[in-house]
Amino acid sequence: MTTNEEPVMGNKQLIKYLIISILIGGFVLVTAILPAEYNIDPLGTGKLFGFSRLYQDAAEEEIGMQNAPLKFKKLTIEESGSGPDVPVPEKVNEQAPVEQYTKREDNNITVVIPAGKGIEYKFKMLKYGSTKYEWYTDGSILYSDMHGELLLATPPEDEFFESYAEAYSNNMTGTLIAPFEGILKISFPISCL
Amino acid sequence: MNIKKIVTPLIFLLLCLISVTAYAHGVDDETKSFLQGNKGVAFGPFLYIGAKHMITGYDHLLFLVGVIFFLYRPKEIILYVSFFTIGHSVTLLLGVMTDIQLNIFLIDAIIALSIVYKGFDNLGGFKKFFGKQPNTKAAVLIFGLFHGFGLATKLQEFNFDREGLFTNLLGFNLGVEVGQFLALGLVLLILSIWRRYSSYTKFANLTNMLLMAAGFLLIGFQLTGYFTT
Repeated sequence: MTTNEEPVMGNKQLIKYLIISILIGGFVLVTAILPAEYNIDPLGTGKLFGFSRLYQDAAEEEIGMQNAPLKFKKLTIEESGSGPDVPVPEKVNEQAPVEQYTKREDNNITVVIPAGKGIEYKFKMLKYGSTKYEWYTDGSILYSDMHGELLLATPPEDEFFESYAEAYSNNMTGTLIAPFEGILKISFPISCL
Repeated sequence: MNIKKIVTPLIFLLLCLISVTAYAHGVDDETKSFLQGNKGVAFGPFLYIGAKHMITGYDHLLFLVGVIFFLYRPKEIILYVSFFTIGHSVTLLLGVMTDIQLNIFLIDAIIALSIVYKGFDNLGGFKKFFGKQPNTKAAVLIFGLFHGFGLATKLQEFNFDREGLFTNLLGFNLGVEVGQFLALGLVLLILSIWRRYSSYTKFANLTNMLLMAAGFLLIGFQLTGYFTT
């Protein structure tokens, strides 16, 4: 910048200004910001002026949030399944097989659902096959949609699927009898919390 | 009447500071839940978030106050602000598209350093100490790059849906410019009113020193965050 109005100052004054600015910045940081933001209170000023309470209040607020009434987007029947416009494939009406898959016991897995990400747990079922299931989270409430799709070689763009249970929960259990052969998915799409 | 001449602009400045400190920097809860729940293209909301982030982003604004403090001609102001805009847009787009995520505390500390730098530069410190002032346009551009990385990193913390990412990102970027334009307009208005009083030059050194103090304060704040979390 090439204006003549820039102040001219001597070396000494410049150093003085530099030191004062560090002192002011450091003073406010140590006396107010650190106690309020990080609960670090080396001089006791956070306690003296009550800045530290801001930190504690913030911490309490987070716990309080968990007890607050939960607000979720209402689930409606219109959004359940693939909708009336999607044709139901013929395969749905196939005869059920005489023999089902062999029964499996103690089939437990743990999946990590990253924050802001969704995940699907899938298993293959034959028509009228039965699955007893249970799932629970470490506490947080997730949006889950248990739905089934046909196993088609060339699935159309608007694929037919049925939702058997959509809910906000941290725990669900039940038995499902598959109405057609395909893939049963217990999916946890991005939470709407 | 001399007191009035000094007090009026000071009150203006104070009002400006109060309105800025009323918000906390970063992204508020509502925005956060929107970002995490959003799917697909949402140009409007992202534009709004970008503008809001800039208007409440005191670190970006303090740097710009430093940049335009000694600029009088509109042409010069536009030129310098354009360099800043190019700088932060490049790294914002590049950072999010290529998934570059730097440590938010360190990048914010560098942004705070840019405020210290500008205050020191305005005091004529570089000329005095090193006999040479670094190219001011280049400096604005380079620090603009860091400001952009800060924006990119903050936005990426939310792991939002990557569908329609580029459109959303353009919305956010445009919002940043809108917010910058609005905030800068207010700052320019206040500065140009203040410039008519002799207190402007009288307090120029003090103002830039306070700018440096704010910069040092923010550096300490961010570095503490880096080492404690």
